[in-house]
Amino acid sequence: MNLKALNLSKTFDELEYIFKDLSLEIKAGDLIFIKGKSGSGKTLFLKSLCLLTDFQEGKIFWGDKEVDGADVPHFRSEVHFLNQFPTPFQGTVLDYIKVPFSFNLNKKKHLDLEELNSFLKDLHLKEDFLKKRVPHLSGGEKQLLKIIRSLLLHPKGLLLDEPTSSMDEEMKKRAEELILKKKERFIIWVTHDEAQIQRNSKTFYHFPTLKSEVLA
Amino acid sequence: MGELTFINILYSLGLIVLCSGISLFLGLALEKKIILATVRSCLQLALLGYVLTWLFTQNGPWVFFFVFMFMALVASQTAMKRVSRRHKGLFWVTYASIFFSSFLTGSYTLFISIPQDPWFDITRSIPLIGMILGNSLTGVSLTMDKLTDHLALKKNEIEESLSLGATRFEACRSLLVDSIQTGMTPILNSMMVVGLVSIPGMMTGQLLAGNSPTQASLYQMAILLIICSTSYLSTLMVALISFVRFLNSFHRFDGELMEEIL
Repeated sequence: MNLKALNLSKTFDELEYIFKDLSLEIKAGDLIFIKGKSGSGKTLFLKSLCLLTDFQEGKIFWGDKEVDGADVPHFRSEVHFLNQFPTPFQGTVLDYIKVPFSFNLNKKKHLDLEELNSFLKDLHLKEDFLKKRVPHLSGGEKQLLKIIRSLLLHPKGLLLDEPTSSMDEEMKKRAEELILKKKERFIIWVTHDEAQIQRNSKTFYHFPTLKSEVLA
Repeated sequence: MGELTFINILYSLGLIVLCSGISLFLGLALEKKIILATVRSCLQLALLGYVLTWLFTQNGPWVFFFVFMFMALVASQTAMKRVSRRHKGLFWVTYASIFFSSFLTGSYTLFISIPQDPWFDITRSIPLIGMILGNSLTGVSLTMDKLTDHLALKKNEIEESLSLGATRFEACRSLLVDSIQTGMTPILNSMMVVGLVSIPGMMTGQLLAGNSPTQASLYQMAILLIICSTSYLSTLMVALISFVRFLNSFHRFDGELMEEIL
């Protein structure tokens, strides 16, 4: 299914535009990197795409249906947004992974332990990783955990906001491989890491800085 | 025991003077607060005595209704002040929850569980409603304080769940439960130990006034059950209304409200 955004505009305090008239269409298998200045609104753009933040103008289509109100959770169960913050979760890694499987819309999905183990292998993580307590993990490990959890739910699309920003180079590359393994999902990936873009794609989208544009 | 006069109060004041003296002597800096609380409580109660004396000469459903509205207003104002993360609309949410739940259980009390004749008999209905409102106030303020705390501190965790397909209710379920439980703790605790550790204020009053202990305990039972259900209704209501205000129908945080409590 295609994700389509039509003429999205978001303002700050209804005084200045954060972004203006952005449109985008992405289909299964596409990979789009976005880079741009810090504070230019990339995160808010991703959050607008999954309706986690409000926007003043524009529409979001998932397939040929406009996403609104009641469809939102279903849409988000298929298109995941991962923010860059280390998760504040307090329990163990396995508990954290299990959380979204309890949501009604994910009821049909089952946690595949074999798949989980193969992920751990790909990432050079030992099995006792699952028993560790999340607050004891490093920032990079927490980001990795977030990626693992999302991939186990087999989303159709991913909106990634600097998902590897706290990782060392080794871990970063392994995470990229895991994320890009399945070719049939689409990915919008915000990053400041030039090398990361060049490793994985030839093109990127430069996010416009609009903050100075004042509304009439 | 005969009637109380100002002499009795003067003797009781002696103890307060003693406490203040000790505080002053040891430099504990509590004497000002003790004196202020003493003055306030004595003045308020004296005023209450006069107001009630006058009110009891009035009668009629409208008098009751106006007094009820006024008391609910003061209760909400007090409840709101106890919430540390203030935000737009807090007063109205508090007022609506306290008013409706007390209205519901209050009517039930006056018509069914402790029926009065006539139902608005001011000498009884006002004290009853006062107890209901007072407890509702405590529950509501504790619940709101906890809920806004949770929302502010767990914003990221909630958004993580929302972005993987949780409905707003699924994402906030555990913190709603915790907030309501926090609001219910005082009344549940006091119900657990009532009669074992202390004799509740209303019952003490009845005993001092010379009523039979069995009558007094029956009254206390009825009151406790009503207070418990009012606390539950009002904490549930305030939690749910605030929840749908902070997380709107798009299953996301209301940006403006969140900014106020962060």
